[in-house]
Amino acid sequence: MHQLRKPYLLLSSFFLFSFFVSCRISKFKHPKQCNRVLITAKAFEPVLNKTKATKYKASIDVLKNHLTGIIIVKQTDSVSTHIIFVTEIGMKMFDFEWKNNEMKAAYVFEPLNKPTLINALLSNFKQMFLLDVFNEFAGQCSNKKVKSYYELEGYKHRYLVADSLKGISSQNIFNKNRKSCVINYNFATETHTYTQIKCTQFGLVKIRTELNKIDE
Amino acid sequence: MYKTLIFILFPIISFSQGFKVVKDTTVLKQKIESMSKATTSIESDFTQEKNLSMLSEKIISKGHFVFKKENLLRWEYNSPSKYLIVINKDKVVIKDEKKTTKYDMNSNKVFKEINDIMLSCVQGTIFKSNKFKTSYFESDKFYKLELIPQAKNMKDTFKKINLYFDKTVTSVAKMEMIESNEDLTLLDFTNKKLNASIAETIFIVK
Repeated sequence: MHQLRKPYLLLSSFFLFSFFVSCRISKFKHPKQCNRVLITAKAFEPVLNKTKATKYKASIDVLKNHLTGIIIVKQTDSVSTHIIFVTEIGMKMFDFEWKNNEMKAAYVFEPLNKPTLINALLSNFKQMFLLDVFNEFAGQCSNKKVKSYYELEGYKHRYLVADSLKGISSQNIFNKNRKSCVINYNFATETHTYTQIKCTQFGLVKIRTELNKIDE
Repeated sequence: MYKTLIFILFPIISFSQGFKVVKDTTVLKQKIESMSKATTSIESDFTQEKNLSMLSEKIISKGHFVFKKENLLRWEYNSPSKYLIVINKDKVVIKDEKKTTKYDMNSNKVFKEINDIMLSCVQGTIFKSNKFKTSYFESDKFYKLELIPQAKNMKDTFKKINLYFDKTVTSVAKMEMIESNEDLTLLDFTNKKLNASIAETIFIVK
């Protein structure tokens, strides 16, 4: 029994060390320059289309649930956007509404309707689709490690790696110097669309989401 | 999960035109019973259309299903995603593009119930269930069974389920599921083959 413990402890220490090293915020520290700017569609391509629905194949792993299906995102009027997740067999799992700068659950499939889980998903989708980013102020910065990134005002540590040509490539959100959420985007320069979005949420409610755009 | 699997069962299409009440339901019930007894297997393509009333948007999915008596069912989506549900007697397997999950029907009463509903729906004998209040209608082309859920958990989700049979009553032609929020799921079956020989190996997922 004692023989087993030593390698186990070593292995645990290694993983803990790796975790702390990989979650450092230092990548976005010490900017060479930083200009205060208003984020608009000129800064980088928005994820969502204002005039038509965007559909994604979706895979969401949250708590012990593995959910797959299709997500439709559509702006329904000048201040409202709906994010609806439907499983392959046609069952609606949730309908989130972004209205007047607030994200709310308009419908949640009852077995999923747990406040901690829903709050985590609401926050996650708001961040992924950049619903709370445009028309907000940020520091447009660069340093030795990252050529162009935005540090959003009103958040302790929320950084978007983005430029006008390549769109947004990642979003990194930290909580007390530890990564709380990382979102990676694949941007197709030919079509000016985001073909894939992958999000990993750390912390109490761990969520892994992968969205792959459906071309119609 | 109960609601999940119910969705599989209750497919598609909206025919509001020209339906009148069937006067003698006994004959129709007998026809459906005979159809069910005579059917040993069903193989069909399907198109699923999910209408989201809030967004005025549709999600169209396509796939193929195979049923073999007594209780073997393979329900497979090919587009836009690959998604497979297989019922093999007391086992249920769900496979998506990333993961395969297996369930044992005997360990879960809800699964058992779902299995019964699914298979009775595919065979058209759902009207015998006391979980629904059934009304019978007919047009020139179809018989329509309107199923109103009676159990609370189903009532919360579905307003009505319509099951369509062609006038010769050889198999279920279409299904339509109307949710409480007016969202609609339609299933349309095409390229149907009845009583063809089907290898049981297709109901095994590794």
